[in-house]
Amino acid sequence: MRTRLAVIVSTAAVLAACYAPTLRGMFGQWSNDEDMSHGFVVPIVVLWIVWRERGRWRALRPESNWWGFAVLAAGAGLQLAAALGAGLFAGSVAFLVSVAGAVLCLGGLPFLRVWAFPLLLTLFMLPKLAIVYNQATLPLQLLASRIAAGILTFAGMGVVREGNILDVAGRRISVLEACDGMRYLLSLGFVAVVFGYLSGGKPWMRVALLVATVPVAIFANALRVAAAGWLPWLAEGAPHAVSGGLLFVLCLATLILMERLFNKVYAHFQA
Amino acid sequence: MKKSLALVLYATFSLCLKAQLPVPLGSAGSFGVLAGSTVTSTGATIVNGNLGVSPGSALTGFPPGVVLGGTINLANPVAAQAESDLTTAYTYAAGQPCPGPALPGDIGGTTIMPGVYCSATSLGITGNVTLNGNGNPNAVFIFQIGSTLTTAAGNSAVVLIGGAVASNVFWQVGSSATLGTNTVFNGTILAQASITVATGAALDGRALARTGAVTLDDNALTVPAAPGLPPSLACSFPSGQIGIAYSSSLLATGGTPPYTYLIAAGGLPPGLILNPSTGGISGTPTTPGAFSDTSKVTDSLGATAMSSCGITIVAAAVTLSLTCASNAGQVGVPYLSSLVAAGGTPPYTYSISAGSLPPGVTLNPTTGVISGTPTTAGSYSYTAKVVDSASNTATSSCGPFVVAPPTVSSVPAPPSLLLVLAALALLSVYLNREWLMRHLRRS
Repeated sequence: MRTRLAVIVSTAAVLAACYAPTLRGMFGQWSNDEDMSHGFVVPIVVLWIVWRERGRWRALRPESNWWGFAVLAAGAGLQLAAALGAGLFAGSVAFLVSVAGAVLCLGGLPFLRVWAFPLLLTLFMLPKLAIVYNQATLPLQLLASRIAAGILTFAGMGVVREGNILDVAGRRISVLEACDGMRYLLSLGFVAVVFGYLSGGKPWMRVALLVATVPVAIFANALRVAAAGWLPWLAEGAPHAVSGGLLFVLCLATLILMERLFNKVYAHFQA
Repeated sequence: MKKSLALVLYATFSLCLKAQLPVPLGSAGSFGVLAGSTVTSTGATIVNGNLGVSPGSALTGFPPGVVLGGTINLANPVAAQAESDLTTAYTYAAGQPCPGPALPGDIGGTTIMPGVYCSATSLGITGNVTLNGNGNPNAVFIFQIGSTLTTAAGNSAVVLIGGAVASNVFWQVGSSATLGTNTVFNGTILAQASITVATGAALDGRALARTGAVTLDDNALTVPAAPGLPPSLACSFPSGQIGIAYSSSLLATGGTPPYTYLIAAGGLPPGLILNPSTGGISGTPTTPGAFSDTSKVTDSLGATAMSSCGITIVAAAVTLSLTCASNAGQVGVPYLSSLVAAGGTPPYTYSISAGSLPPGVTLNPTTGVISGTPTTAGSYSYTAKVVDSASNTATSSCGPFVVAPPTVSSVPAPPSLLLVLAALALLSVYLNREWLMRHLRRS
């Protein structure tokens, strides 16, 4: 038992040493990018879920699986590519692949299966993939501007929109890149999946809630922009932080309602 | 056919013997028209060369006839000397040995090689007679005609090919010569009595009558350039203006036409092109400036002449005008634009003659630059004015200059860390609500 623990600790230490630059990069992005700061919470939640599931994996008998070395090798190859210029995202993926490979090596397929959900949850701590992020930012920015203009018009406000600029009754509001809704999208996505897990729902429920996150987050972000256009004092300082948080709570409430709705629909079809 | 063959054979034979020299005209060579008694012209006759009468002195029809590049000499020593030299030349031409076959009565339709040809009586030309220089620019043709020379009315012509030049063709006529209507004639006519050039006939040569009259009718007579001289090229181009069609021409003289023109160095102003055949320069200039080039002309014998030419193209004349600056600004955002004056005579002085610029924005009267940071949103109209150094003025109604209110950037949502932590806390409460409620009831 001691030997096994020593092997596990050694493996973790080796992985941490090998991926130290990548981990530093991930920490750096969580620290500097407010869209990604939830990354600090992800490993804590993942470890908590692993601990929560201890009854399941303690009952398992470790069976070393040689395929784990292949997965480790794949992770190492990806890390090499990242070191040669593929970037932080590739290195972070390599780290997660290597962790999965180590689990497969030391515990075998049953352990990997039990820890599959927490391992997948670690995807939320991956850094932004610049290519995708850059392509998505402008459309999301314009979408937020368009929906915000629609909301304000619906509310009876005179709005003229020029691209990402909203002219609301003589006030001009520029919808910045940072207001593209990505922050709500990533945060709410992570919370939705965790909520799906904690509510005891089946895996499909987690996926359904994750998908439902997209329109909810985009609309909520647009609503936040519209509120700032309508009530200028909401655009800065404490009122801004409070309104942003309250809107996120509203999103959460929406997700809870959706979870209940999905459960009812599921129960109806089961009956 | 037989007569042409005979003439060709004779000419070839004569060329083998010796080269024929031109008839020495002396001072008569500068005369396009010279008569012993009178010169009479009808219509717009043009004589390029001297005109003279001696010993007579009668001249009729000038004007409307004109003498270009020469003078009119009536019974004066110049004309007398010319008549004297004409007599010498006539005698010389008539005295040249004429060994070949006699010319037929009408040489129209024949091709004649260089040499001395004789006709004991009269000679007619109906249609074209072709004189072939055989590639020799010094080829000489002398025709000795016993009595009259007559070209048929219509389109009769003496055609020169193979380097033959009009200055080396001589027609010695025993009595009188008559060029029919519209005849195109080359060569110098040395007539004992009179010469009549009918309506529309053109003579590249001379009409020299020893004793009688020369009668003209709306003709063009040009003393040919001396043979063997290289061509010369003149260019005196007027200035052009951008956007205005331009037309001028290189002018070659002397040598042996036809000419070929080209630009040997430099270039014409953009938009203008040279016609290599005519020397015409035409087109519409597109760029102002002084353009110089070396133009070159090559005659049919390969002799060349070059001349340095230049064309100045000036910008289109424009009246003073004023264009407004940009009319869009925003509070708090630095604004920079400019009034733009065109035409007139710089330097300009700008001003606002009516209305006003938005607060925070000012005009530089020297440069026309309008700059500053607008401080108040609104719509502003003004009239801009420019005065040039010649005191010409132009105004323009500008505006409305719309100053938009300041742009406020939307503030991003709180950091995702806070959002997630708050959400997880609320989820904990929500998921453990029954347990919490129980504890609250107990307490």
